[in-house]
Amino acid sequence: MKRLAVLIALFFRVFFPTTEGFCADGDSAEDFFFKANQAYREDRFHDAVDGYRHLLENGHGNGHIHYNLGNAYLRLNDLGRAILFYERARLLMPRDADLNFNLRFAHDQIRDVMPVSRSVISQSFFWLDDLTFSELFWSFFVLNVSFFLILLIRLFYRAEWTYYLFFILLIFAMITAAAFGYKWYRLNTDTRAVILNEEVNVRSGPDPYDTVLFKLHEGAIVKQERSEDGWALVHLSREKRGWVPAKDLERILGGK
Amino acid sequence: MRRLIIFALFIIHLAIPLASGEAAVSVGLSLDRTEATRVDSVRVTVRVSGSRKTQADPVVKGLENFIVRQGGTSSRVEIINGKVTSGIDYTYYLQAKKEGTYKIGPAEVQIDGKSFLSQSHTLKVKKPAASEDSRGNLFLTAEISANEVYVEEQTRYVLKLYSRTGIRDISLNLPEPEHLKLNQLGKPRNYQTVYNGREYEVLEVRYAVVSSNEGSYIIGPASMNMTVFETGNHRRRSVFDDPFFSFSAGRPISVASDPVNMSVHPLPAAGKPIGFSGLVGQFTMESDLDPGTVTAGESATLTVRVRGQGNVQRIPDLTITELKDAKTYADQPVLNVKQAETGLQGEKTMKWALVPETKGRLEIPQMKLSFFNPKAKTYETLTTPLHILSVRSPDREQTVAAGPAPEPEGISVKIDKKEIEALGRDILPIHMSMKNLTAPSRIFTNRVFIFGMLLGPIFLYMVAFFTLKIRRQKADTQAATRSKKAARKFYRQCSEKGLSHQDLMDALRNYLNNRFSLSIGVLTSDEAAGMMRSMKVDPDIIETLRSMVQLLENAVYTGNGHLKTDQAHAFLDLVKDIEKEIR
Repeated sequence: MKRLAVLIALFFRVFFPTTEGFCADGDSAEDFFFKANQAYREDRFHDAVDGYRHLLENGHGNGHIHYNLGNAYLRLNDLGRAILFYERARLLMPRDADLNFNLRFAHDQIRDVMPVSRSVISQSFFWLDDLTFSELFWSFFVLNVSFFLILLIRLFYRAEWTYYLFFILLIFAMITAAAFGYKWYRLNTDTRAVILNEEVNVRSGPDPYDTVLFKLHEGAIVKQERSEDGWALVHLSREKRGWVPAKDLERILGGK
Repeated sequence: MRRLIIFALFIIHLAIPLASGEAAVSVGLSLDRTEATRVDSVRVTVRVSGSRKTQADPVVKGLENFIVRQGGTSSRVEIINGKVTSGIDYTYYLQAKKEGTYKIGPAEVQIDGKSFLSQSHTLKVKKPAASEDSRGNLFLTAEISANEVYVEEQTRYVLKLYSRTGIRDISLNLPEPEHLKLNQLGKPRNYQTVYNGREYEVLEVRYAVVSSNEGSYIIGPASMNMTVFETGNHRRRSVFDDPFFSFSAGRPISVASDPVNMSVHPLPAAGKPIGFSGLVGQFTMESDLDPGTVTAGESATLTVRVRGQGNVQRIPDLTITELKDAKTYADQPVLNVKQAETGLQGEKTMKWALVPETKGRLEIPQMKLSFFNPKAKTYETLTTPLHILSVRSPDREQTVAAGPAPEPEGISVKIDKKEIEALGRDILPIHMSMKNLTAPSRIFTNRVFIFGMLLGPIFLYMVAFFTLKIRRQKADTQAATRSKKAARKFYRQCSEKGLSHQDLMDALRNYLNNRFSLSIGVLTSDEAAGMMRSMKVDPDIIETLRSMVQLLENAVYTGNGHLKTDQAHAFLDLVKDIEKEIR
């Protein structure tokens, strides 16, 4: 019985962590959050950034902390990092109205015009941007369980309603399966990175003496292909491709 | 050559008994029961032996008081003590029109210019049981929702066919009472119900009944003709009770409902509005003017909708009184009628295009519609609201509020709207609620968890599926083993000495049940033959089986079931032939 209680406690500890007791110096997460918010309100944006970053580093990386951090960076005129954290927040709470408003505001500040190219699949799944990975997972899970449940029922009881329900669930399960799979694929192949420096030279090779092909400005979002010796190969489109110092950009998913 | 001679001798050998059989022609007449009620269907079989051809169908006397339906003909070959005879059976189904005692027969058959007569039988037709508790397996009821109605008032006439047997090919004969109009409401419904403690399948058909004249009416009996398939005697209903699997031929039957009385009253004279259209039922009316403001010379549309339940065909086409400063153009009214389960429902839509000629306020006159409400037993009048059309001059001078009549106080003023002008730009504030501090779930970092959750249901389903499949295979294997052993068991039983007719009948029934995985309770010759037919056994073997089973039946049902039989070996040989055929 005791073992069972320990196991249950461990399960909740792993899957549903609480906010308590994460700080070594005695301050709780609530204290840090309160102090960071207070700093932001008193225009001490560097302190606010430190507070929010501390929370993120200690396992509180939810959408709201990313959003607040983006706000703090924007107040510090660090457009690149502001967009970086807004984009990260958008992966966690894509339908938040405040976030979308501020992200649009930040995008308007970018000096570069970003090319827009979307594949047919991503156009078909345009609505996926408004759903989080966990929402899609649980939708698919519920439909998947319901679908196999109705199949199970049909093994024993073949009423007409089960036949129609089977088809309805099949269609919805297939749609959510496709959406979930595509979302998974996109998250695992998301190579977007944000330019963090005010101006960055994009060169033809990973060397400071290579030819400058074009310039990018902070906040611009590029696709990072690979990294070599402190340099990153990025592209905006087929024509706009080149090398930038890896320290001048940060990936939205996965850090440096 | 030698083979040809042997074949010719074989044909001659077969033909001789047939020819000798044809020489002794006899005609028999049998009834499947001697007592029946009006709702029963009695099977009459005219059995011609010694000939497979007659010049015309038999003429059976004494059928004047019966509804007679053909049940078809069947040829047969009989082997009695090794002697083969052939014949033809004519089947008829009788249903008595009234009670009494009737003499059925004789049946007269013409063969080769000679006339042959059968014997006669007496059939006693009794009244069906008076008590509702003892209603049979099949009956028809008729109900009416209200016996006292007004002229043109809708009432529902509901026919319900209760059955506890398999039925097919149902046709309905509706009564056609004078001055009453019956309109079917919706599609017939099928459902199950319990009537006096017994479970029935019910087929329900609904009609709306409307009377155009006052008076007392009787809606005569409605009748339904159908083919009935008697289910087996097994206690549990199985798939073989379905007519599709039935090995016995269906029997045509007709059931009739009781007549229903109805009294139709005239509409009351007191309070009848002038120009009353005869509309009876429950109705509502609504109207709409769109747009409420127009420029002189442009058109606005006035729409009036009348909807309700009753004699909707009588919804009158409303008229609009001529307007002084506007032209009106009436559109063709549209009536949509729906046969709902509660009665005829409908909606009539009438539209007018109004084209004002001068600016100002144009009052649209109200329209009225009267109908008789049978529930409230009074005449009611519906009135459209007063609509005002605001008309402005073509050079966009001031306009006056439009739409329904203005409130006594308050004046609406048209405001020129502008695009909202942005005066500054900034971001929205941070999220400070402590609720926003929840830590994100880490479960999605665990791929085992994700795949486990997604593949778990399919795994559980596969386990259930294969478990069930293995169980079913096991059951099939058991049935197959039983089937294989069925013949051997039957041979063993037939080899026993001193077998009675009943023993042989039981052994044959057990053989068929085990061999074909059935659950026949009482075996009949028709069922046995039908079963063999479905297995595509040689027709000669089928006929032999039928006649031999019939002999057993005769012995068993005439009280000689306990007597010893010498047919065991004949059955043994027959079953061997059947087994060869099936393989």
